[in-house]
Amino acid sequence: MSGALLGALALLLAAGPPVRVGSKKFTESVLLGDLAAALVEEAGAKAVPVRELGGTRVLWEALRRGDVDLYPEYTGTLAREILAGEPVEGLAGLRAALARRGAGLTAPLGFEDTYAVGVRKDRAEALGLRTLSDLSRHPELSLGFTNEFMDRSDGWPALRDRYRLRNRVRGLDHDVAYRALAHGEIDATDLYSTDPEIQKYGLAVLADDRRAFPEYQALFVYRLDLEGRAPAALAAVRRLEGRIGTAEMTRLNARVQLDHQPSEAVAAGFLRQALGVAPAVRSEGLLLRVARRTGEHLLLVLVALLGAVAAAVPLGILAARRPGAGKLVLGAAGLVQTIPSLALLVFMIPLLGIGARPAVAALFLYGLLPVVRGTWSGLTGISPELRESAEALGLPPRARLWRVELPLALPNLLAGVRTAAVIAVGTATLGALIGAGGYGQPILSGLRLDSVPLILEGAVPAALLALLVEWGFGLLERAVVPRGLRRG
Amino acid sequence: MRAPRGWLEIPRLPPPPPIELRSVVKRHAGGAVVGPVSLSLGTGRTLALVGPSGAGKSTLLRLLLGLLPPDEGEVRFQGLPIGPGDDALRRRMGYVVQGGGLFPHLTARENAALVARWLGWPAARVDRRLSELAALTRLEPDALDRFPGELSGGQAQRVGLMRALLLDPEVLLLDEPLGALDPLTRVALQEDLRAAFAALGKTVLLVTHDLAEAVFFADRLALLGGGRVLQEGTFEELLRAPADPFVTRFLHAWRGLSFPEAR
Repeated sequence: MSGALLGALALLLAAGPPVRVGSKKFTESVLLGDLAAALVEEAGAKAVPVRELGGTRVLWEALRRGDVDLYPEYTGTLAREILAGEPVEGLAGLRAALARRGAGLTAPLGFEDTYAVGVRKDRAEALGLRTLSDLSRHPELSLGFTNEFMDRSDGWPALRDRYRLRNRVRGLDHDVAYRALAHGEIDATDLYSTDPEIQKYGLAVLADDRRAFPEYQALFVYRLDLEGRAPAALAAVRRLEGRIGTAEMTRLNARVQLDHQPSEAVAAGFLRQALGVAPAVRSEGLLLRVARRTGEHLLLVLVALLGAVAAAVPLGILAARRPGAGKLVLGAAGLVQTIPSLALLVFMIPLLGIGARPAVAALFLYGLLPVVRGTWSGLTGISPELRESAEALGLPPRARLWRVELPLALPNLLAGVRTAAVIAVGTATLGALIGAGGYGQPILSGLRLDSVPLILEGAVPAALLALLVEWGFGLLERAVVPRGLRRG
Repeated sequence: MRAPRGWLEIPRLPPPPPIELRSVVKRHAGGAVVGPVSLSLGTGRTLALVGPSGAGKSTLLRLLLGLLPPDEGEVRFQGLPIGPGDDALRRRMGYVVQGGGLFPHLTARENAALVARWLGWPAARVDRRLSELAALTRLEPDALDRFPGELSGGQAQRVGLMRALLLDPEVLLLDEPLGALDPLTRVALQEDLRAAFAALGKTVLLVTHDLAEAVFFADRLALLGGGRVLQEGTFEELLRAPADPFVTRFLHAWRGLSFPEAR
């Protein structure tokens, strides 16, 4: 018995500190994160996936604060968004610049995810098209590009100038472009070099032989302290260096995006085949998944709501007592409400990192206004006669507040808390963008993978929870509001 | 040398009057002025402050309760100055609000026992006191467990009186005790109230615009007009020797309303 316990303890100690593996909210990033997490576990360390975060800034801040230890990134993104404006020379320059910020880079993984031009395979073979230089020899081909690509300076203008293209060009929507290509109405379109659609529509990607497009090589960024803290885990992740070619990445993306296979399973399959590693794929049943997310979601909502009530009721009392302060308090709480929820979540990251804490803080701020307003309107709505009646009885101010004024304000106060709770249940789904989990996670994945069942896996419990909150507050009101206040 | 006889004796002063206003003036933000008013009410006496609306009755009542601080002069309760912070002194006054002033979230019982419970009285003592007072005010016992919204006007007023009397205060203040009641309820309640006052022997001050009500309850009247006491005395004294033409007009206005005598 105690031997088993000791064994478990030894295993726990041997596993060392967890390695937090982040990813952005698109399929390729999630896949690369899953690959790294599986390798970290393989090396005997504990991997904590922090999947589908809201964007580069979120991940970079999380890395700096230590909420994330490593995540997949692209050289072009690092140069443009993280080192904005700082001139760096090549990969070595980038590495040096990031080292000054406490971050290290693995070697490139072997593929680039940048702009590319795709042509139908049969057409490419018939015309002998392999590179973009080949395209410039066929000005009769008609090109259809997405509007974003047409506008961006590193898109069509760069391509046209570098290869001196004279072809006819049309601006199209992305989905329309693929169909037009399939029907032969256009001959080439822009894509990302690892788009799964390359496989779906059987396209040939023309090599950017004269480098018109910026370099977006995939690699992992990690905290430099990881080298000392979990060297084996880092070494394991480095086994991916140079091992994933463009075609391979495209194929993996397609398996997740088009065939709707679980990302972890696709990652495990690749590791088995390419590195001879057989990671255990953790699969969680639907019920377990929903139960875990319910726990995460409820935690966010409950902590934020309790905090909001604890702060907003005294503020509401203050607002009712002093009209000057009242205007200030109600104005400030109203101002918070006008900040878009996503922006508020992102503002919180430099202060509180990622995960449940910033999400709770944002939900707390959103909960303030309804509760302050409810308390304030309940208290200021008490008739002057009743107020004076309590005073004339000789009750001191505190007793008047607790025994007369707050009970009379209770119906309005509760209505405010109810509104705050419903808002919190809905807004908490956005918490998934900053790693707080909850019902937002499957909604986010579902939107990304265009999978209605996944979206419903989050949306249905969220809607049920909102209904449950409404129903619960109905019961609560009946239980705590005296009959004398309920009629009329 | 011999000490003078009785030099250690503390001179015996008469007890201070329960209620006393000394040259009190209250100026309202709108420019209306109440006072200067001086008024004194001895133990066990009943006084009615009577006058038309706008004469300053409510303001005087608030000053007496210490809810409003006076701008000039002094308000004393049993010899002690009283103001907004003096909650403990107010608990020694019973105040019957017009219409009962009951809190809608509490039952009649909880309304009447509110301050006693806050003071930590044991439940048995509260219950004993409530049944005494229910008998005194002639309130049906089952009305005690209803909410104010479920009581008749007369019942609400009786509960209001019970609430005011619960701590056995030295002084009772009533604001238009029969104000909003229908004539039949009025008759029943005014008899019960007078009987209750007689049984208690308390110092009572009531405020009303209704001369008949004032005369029915009080030995002495103080007639208010334009924020000042125009005359104080018994109804007969006021009638016999009015100090001001307004006193005459006010008294006769009420007479004019009485029924013409049958021929």
